[in-house]
Amino acid sequence: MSSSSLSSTSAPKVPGDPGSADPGQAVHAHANPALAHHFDDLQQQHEAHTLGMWAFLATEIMFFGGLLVAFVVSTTMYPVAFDIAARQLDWQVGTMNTTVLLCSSLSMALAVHFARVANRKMTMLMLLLTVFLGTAFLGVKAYEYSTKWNHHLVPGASYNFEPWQHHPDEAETRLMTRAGVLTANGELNASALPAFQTRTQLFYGYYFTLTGLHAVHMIIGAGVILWLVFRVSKGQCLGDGSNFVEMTGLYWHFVDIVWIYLFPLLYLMDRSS
Amino acid sequence: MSQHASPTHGNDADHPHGKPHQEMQEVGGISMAYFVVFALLLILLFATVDIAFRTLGPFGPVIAMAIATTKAVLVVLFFMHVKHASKLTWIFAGAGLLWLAILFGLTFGDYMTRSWNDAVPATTHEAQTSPFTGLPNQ
Amino acid sequence: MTTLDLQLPHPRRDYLAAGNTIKSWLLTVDHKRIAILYLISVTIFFFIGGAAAGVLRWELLTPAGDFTTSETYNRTFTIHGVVMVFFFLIPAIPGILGNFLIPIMIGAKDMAFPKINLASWYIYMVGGILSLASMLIGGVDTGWTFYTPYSTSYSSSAVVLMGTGILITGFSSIFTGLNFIVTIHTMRCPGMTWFRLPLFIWSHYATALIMILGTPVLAITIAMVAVDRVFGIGFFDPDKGGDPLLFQHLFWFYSHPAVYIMILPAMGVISELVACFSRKPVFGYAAVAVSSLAIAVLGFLVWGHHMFVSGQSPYAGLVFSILSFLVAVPSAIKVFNWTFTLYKGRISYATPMLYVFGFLGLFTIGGLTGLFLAALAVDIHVTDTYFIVAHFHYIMVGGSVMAYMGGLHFWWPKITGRMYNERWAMLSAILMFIGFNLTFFPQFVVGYLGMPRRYHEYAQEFQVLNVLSTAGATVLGAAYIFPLTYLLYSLFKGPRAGNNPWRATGLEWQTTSPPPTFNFDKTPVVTEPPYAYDVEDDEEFDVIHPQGGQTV
Repeated sequence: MSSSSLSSTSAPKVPGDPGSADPGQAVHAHANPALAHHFDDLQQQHEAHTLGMWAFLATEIMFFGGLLVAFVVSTTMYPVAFDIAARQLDWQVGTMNTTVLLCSSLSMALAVHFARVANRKMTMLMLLLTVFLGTAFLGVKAYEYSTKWNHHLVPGASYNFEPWQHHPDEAETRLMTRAGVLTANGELNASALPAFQTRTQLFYGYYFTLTGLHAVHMIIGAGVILWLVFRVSKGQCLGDGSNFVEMTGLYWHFVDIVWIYLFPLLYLMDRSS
Repeated sequence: MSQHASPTHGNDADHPHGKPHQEMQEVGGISMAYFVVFALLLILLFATVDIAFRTLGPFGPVIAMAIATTKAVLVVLFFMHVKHASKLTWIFAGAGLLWLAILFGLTFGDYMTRSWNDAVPATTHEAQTSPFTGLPNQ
Repeated sequence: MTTLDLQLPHPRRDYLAAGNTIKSWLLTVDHKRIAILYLISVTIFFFIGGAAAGVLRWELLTPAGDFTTSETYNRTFTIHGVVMVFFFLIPAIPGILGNFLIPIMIGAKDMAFPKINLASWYIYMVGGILSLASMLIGGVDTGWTFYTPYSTSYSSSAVVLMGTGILITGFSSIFTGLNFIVTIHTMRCPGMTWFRLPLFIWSHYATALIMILGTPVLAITIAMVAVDRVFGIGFFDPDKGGDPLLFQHLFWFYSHPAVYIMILPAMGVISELVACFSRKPVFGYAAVAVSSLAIAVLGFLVWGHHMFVSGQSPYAGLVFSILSFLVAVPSAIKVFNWTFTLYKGRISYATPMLYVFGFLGLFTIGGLTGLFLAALAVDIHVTDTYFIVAHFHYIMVGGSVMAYMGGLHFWWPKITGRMYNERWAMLSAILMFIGFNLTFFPQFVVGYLGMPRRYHEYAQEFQVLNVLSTAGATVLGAAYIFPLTYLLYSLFKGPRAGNNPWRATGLEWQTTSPPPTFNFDKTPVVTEPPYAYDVEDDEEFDVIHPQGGQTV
């Protein structure tokens, strides 16, 4: 008595020919070249790729999520210091950068569409546009990082948070008084300074780690897209074989979503006056 | 293995999952949905920036996160095609969020209840107004 | 019952014969070869971790710290923990038995992502080599738990290097989990519905869930520790505005579910073995299957029980305590169901079954002591003592390692096509059981009496029990070396095994030993429930005198 029967099904993709020298080859006459040998059909392959990429994105949610939990805990511990520190970020640059990234998401979605309908030229154009926009985003971030460095806001030995040197507005002054850094007369309270430096440095630690991690993901994504451009230029990854483009699209959109959350959390914390 | 009418199993350019659906209008073969969603994303972005400068008290962060979540949902449903994807894909997409909620929830459960047993009430202004107390260096 | 005869008169075309160059092994995408790669590297790491344990136990023979300095001792228990947790227990059963068996058990030709499978082994190796490299430049003295702010601000050891190694290996775990989940969802053969799957598959599916959802949090936590150390930011240092408990929350969010990564695959193995050697289907199949998922989910809700004395809110402690009691329920369900499987079964005492018996007793003890620890008041008394050490070793070693050995012996003929020497195998199993109990039971006692863990010296009154423990460790060490030798010997001189020496059910036994590269000559179609054993059937195994076997 056996628990499963080994009856053959029709049209096996792997022939059981005992005389074959290499029984692993799929010799089925009309096997689609886009179909990997261990899958039965394109739908199974597509479902597997999609589920695999979404499972990977779930890991990315947890990866960024852990850092975000830590950030939110710290923000809630030191709301005033983090607020003041965040105000040093340029929200206009951030808004423009977010717009650039949203545009890159559109171009990526279009790239996926064109890949599916096997339009080689438009696919390459959209992919290149996506890389271009992504690179622009990274360029702006590099500019932001350099201004932070010049203002001694990069954590480490050179860190020195001195917003009062740069004509703080009324809201900032009020916040700094609340934090005890400025006295009621507007003078600097030296004894409160070390804690204040520590807490604002913590904010910038989170800022650079969060945006840095995001930037690393974008660099990897841009690299993969460039590799895709190369393959598409040779006529690959189109039509039935466009899964690769679609999965890259999923990744790129996810990185965009991370920024959709990072932007308000970092740049737009309580800017009300 | 499953018996299928054709190797592509009902796959075509815009329906690789073989599930027919009511497609939005198309522009030159491209679904209008992409452009509509893109416009919505830009509108919501400007909304986010706008409300940041308004005095909304404790609701400020809540509304900001709600807007961000709306944008994320739009990207997930339309740019990432989850709207037309299998139920399993929905579950995979949601699982990460659920687990993140577990991490957030129980961690915050610790921080927010640390001061419940405090014999000595908080003294500094920051400690009194903070949702968390009993933490170092407050 | 006659085994299906798939012996065809032709040259060997099993997966082992498909290429014998180094390149064919190092660039393979065959899940079975990748499993062998894991087997070799996991075994090497096991003995490295075991050697570290030997140093620890040798030091603990005497109360005074005379064999090692306290610094060296700290670095030794750290490397023991890191290697055993990250490079042995987490990858062993999933990487070896899971990789080998999952596609075959579900009737597929390979995993969903064969190249990612190979990548996961390479990533594991890179991470492992980095961690060992950190050992060579002096090691780490923080314990495998890397508690802050010591690890971020005060320790002068190779924290970043070892952390990087662990972080990289975490991605190996994630890739393995991805592969398992997608494969089990999308590549089951016709007729293989969810409730016809072997329980081994259910366990590995649950394990994969944990791998995917938990490991990334460890990765980001280690990354934050590295950033903290290198840039002096102070995420976790109170002097710099951080909170050490934040680290602990993030760390244990992964590391508690990690222990379920270590035990769930073992439970899957036990389900297979207990059915085969009782000649009965597993009692309460659905309950055992669902309890695997329950363990995976509930396991994510209890991490705070590692933090009862850390200063976390007592209300959080309360919630975590209740949830920790709850998480024991699905494990208990499994133990009861395995026991009911034995009841009125036709039990045989082949080596794999000896490991099952060892597992059932030792895992139960380990699990019950876990319940003691879930009680806040008891935990406060025994925290950071040897009671905790004994608790988790009963589960990890008495449970996981025993199940791993049982599974390795059960599927050895399938994987290698050879049979091992049964007498040596039984002797090793018995020796392992004796050695294990001699090593770890005294640790319960000495821990309860107050001996702290992670100390290289201790009070005089604890010496007798420590000497017993070290004696046990010696026996245990020998018991691990025996299988290494007789299993290796069997590869060259062991009798060739038939397709189904144990007359077991399951698709893996319906194909040749070893299987062909694409697992089956024809895709199977499943029509019956799993574990269709007949307890009345008293035909012998054909193990010692295998019938058939492949022509060379």
